[in-house]
Amino acid sequence: MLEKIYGLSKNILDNFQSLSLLLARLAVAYGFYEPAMNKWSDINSVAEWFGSMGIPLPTLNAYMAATTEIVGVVLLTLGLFTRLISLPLMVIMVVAITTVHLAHGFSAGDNGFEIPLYYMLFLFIFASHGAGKFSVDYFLFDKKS
Amino acid sequence: MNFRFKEAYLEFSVLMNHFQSFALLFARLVLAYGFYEPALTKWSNLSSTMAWFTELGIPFASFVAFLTASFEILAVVFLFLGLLTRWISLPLMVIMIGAIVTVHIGNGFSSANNGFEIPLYYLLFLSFLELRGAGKFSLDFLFFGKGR
Repeated sequence: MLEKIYGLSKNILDNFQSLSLLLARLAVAYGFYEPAMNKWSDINSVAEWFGSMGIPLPTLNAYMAATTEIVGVVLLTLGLFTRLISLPLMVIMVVAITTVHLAHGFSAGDNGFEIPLYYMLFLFIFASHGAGKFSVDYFLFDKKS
Repeated sequence: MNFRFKEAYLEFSVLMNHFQSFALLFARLVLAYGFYEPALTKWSNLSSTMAWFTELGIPFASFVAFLTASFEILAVVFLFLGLLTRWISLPLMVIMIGAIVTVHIGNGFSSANNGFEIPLYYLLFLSFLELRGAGKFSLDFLFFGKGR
């Protein structure tokens, strides 16, 4: 009897965990949507902007960042290859923090590194915990990913 | 799907699983830092915090203000140490929901307009800690071992 209750409650908690992973994935996907679209709408000025910040190979890197971000929006929403896409997105966040936000301090109100730090943390959680049950990964990788 | 690709991805997943406790530690430290300033602000002038809560139309405003300030300052210490993580995360989730409903929701999403973006992120981080526990780099793990 007790074992049954324990098993049942564990199952419910597991589902909640997958739910919070799903909500977090959707939140981060939503967060990447606007910067990704902005980059694609005028990729040349992004390349110039990257160059002015001293990022090497600015055009190539502008295309790579824009591509990773738009692919990230789709994959995080679906929960497809979640752990894999989280790593390059984390790299983008680190670069964004060091080149843009760090000089403004922490607070989001001053365009500091608060928000990209939170994104990095979400992505780190996705990379280490996977996408949860409510994802394409869960079906594609036999419930093991 | 290609069998070898599947095999490789699952191997990658196993490798990444080893970083779970690091992610939970990182989340705890970020949240502890995040609660530090609001907690101290509330304590530095508790009576004005109580007046503010009354103004927001929160029932039992003085009591709720005292409770919120207490949980927030406890959160800084407990989340930092990873002590009683699941116990402290739940009231903090309630506080975040309260903050979103009473203060932030009228301002929209973006944090630039003091919207509900940041308390929403906190709510999600806290829900991870509530459901996953503090991970291995915590006093919970030291005292209670696995399953805490």
